[in-house]
Amino acid sequence: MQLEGRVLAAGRAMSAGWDRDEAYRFVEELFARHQNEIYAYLLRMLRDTELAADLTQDAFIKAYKAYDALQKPENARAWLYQIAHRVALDDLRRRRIIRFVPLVGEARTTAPSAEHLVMEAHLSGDLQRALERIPPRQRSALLLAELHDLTGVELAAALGVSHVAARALLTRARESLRQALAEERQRTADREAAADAARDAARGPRA
Amino acid sequence: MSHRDSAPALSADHVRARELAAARLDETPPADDAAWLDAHLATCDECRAVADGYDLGRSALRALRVSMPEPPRDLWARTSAALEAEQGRRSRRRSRLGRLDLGRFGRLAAAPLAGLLVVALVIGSGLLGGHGVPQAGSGPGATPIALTAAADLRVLTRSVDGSVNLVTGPVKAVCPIGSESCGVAPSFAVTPLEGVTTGPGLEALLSPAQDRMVVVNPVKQGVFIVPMATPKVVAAPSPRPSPSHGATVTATPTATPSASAPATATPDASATPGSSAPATATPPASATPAAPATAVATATAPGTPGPDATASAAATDAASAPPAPSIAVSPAPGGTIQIASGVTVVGDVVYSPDGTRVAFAARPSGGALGPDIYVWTSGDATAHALTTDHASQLAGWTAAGILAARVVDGKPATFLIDPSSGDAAAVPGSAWMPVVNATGTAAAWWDGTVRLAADGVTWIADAGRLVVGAWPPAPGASPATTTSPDPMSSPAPSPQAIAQGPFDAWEVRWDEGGTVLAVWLHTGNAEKPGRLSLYSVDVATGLANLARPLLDAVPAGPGFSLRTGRLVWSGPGQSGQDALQVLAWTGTNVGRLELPGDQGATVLP
Repeated sequence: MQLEGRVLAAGRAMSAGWDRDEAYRFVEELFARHQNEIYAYLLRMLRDTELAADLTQDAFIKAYKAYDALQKPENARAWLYQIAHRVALDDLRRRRIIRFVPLVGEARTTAPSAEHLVMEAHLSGDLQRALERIPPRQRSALLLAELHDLTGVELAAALGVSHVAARALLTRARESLRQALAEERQRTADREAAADAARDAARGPRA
Repeated sequence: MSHRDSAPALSADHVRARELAAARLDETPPADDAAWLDAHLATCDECRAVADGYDLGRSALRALRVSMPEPPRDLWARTSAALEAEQGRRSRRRSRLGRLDLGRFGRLAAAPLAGLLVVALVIGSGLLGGHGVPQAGSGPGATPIALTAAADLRVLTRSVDGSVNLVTGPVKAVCPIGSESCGVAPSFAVTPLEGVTTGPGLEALLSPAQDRMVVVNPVKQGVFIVPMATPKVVAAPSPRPSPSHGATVTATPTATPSASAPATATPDASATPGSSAPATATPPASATPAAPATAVATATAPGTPGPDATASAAATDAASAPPAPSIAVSPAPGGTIQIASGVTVVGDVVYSPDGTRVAFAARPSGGALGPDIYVWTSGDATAHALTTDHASQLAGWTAAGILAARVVDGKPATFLIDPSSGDAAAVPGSAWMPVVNATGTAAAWWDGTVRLAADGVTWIADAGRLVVGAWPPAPGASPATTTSPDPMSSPAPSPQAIAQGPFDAWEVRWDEGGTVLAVWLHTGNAEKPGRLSLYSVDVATGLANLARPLLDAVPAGPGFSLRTGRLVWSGPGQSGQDALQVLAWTGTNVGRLELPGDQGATVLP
């Protein structure tokens, strides 16, 4: 954040208005620092790797265009998430669909522990389906708060709402996820039970 | 109380409990609310299940943190291309020849950097071992590392027709160490230097404001000031050039200056091609008004006896010495002016720290006189002699003044000369050709003996070592002698030995903050590249970490650029052909680029 602040301060000192070169350097710095998390956020919002990459690019282009709209350098990260959030919702709104496709190739950076792998094996399918079922704004709030560690103030900025509204949205999102996740887990359990029953039937009566 | 009777009250409590159970995941509730929630959950299985559901959802989401997806490797290339397209769309400014992308640049038949590609190098282990430069990310990803400040490349290239181009361009990102490719595609602007042709030995220096170029042309005329066609306004620090010993550039005398030369310029016979007789030379009428002869007499009072009789005679009596070589003006198309002719430039051209003046050392071409130091001030028509002892070589220009290297009583010495008055003061010790950092607190210099070069009038390092230490050096520290010293027995505790001589050529540069020091050394076959090393320096103590170089003796041609956060040089690439090499570090990342070219190029400071 300090580095971002320096970039911004330098940019504002050099130019009273829209400084193209400074904006470019600013976005370069933002990209270097935040591209991974912005891409991850968009990928989990949209569940489409190509679309997430395209919209990540779009988000940084919009940041470049809106460089002079950022009032406080310390808000640069939340500001970038706000742009990404809007980009995602715009796309979802435009497509009128929520694109969830199987996620592949995520575990390229850090080797997860066995405990985490077990948890993911049990939860990731249910979780993905549960996330798919809740409203995009609630999904965005959950992802930003739980995966991307935005503070309450940052979350409100990213969502473009007041702090109270962001809290309320997050509370509703947790309830929505709880219900959806419970239902998905029940469905999974039902499917597994049905599959077990089918296998038992295929084996025939035990001797 | 029946369950039915109490249902409405319990429902309200359930709502409150669920809200508090969800909210406590984000903020710690007030103590009263927390106590109430705990009490409620202890007695309400339904609400406890809901609270557990919230916890489960959070755990499920957070479990995804261990497998954060990575963006595609070419995402920066795509984004930067889109950004530049957007930038270009908004920009109406164009350079005279336009801004060329690599593809177009590669198709220029005249451009020796044709076919530029960008690949990443596998970095030497030395880079990662030192302090002062961030450690590289070791992951296999090829996501480019964006630089906080673009590394401006300034390269001279020679076209097949002999013309010279200045190629500039920002490198805004580099590839992670160890990656094979990351899609970085910098673009370059090409500006021709009109009226300048070249052969081997071309040297040039871009002004700090990048509005003019000082060109030492060994084939055509001499020393030129060439205005740049597309001046850039860049808040870049002043270049800090340093001497390149033994790398003299021979200038071909030109015709007598044209009649349009200003009155202060004094055309004379010595400007005639082939003329080298000092006796026939006329002192420039505009020679430094502050009586440089007096200043030189002071500086050279001990005498500068050298093996060469002519040089000795000239040095022992500066007042009666033959005049300095003529300096003439040859206006050229495009505003180019020739500030010196009939001279052979000795060493490098340097800018003053404020960027308003230029200094160089030169001697009459083909003559027996040694070099003097000349200064050209922006707006003047010619360069003026600052010394007339014919025994002064230029070491550098610091905030304190011009550093001149001389030989006094057979021993190397350094003098600090006031660029305005010409007054000279000896620097304590026997440091030779020091390269001082920006703050004037540390320097690298030759510590050893010197000998006359093949021209018989200029001095070059002989036996000894290249050292780095506090500046100015303590009097008497590490004295050099005219005999080859035993470096191992040198008692000097302060200066550190960077490398043992002899060297055919060496070049040292500091970054602006004095945190890193780059050293290029060359010995042996002139056709082979020298070796470039980069060392971190403790600013507080001035000690360099020589044991763990950040870059350890990589092959490199003469000429390199060191600024805060990046080092640029020319050297063999992975294919074995010359290539531009960029090493850059920013934040916690370090990366490199290789920009292969088919003929090599001269990297400007």
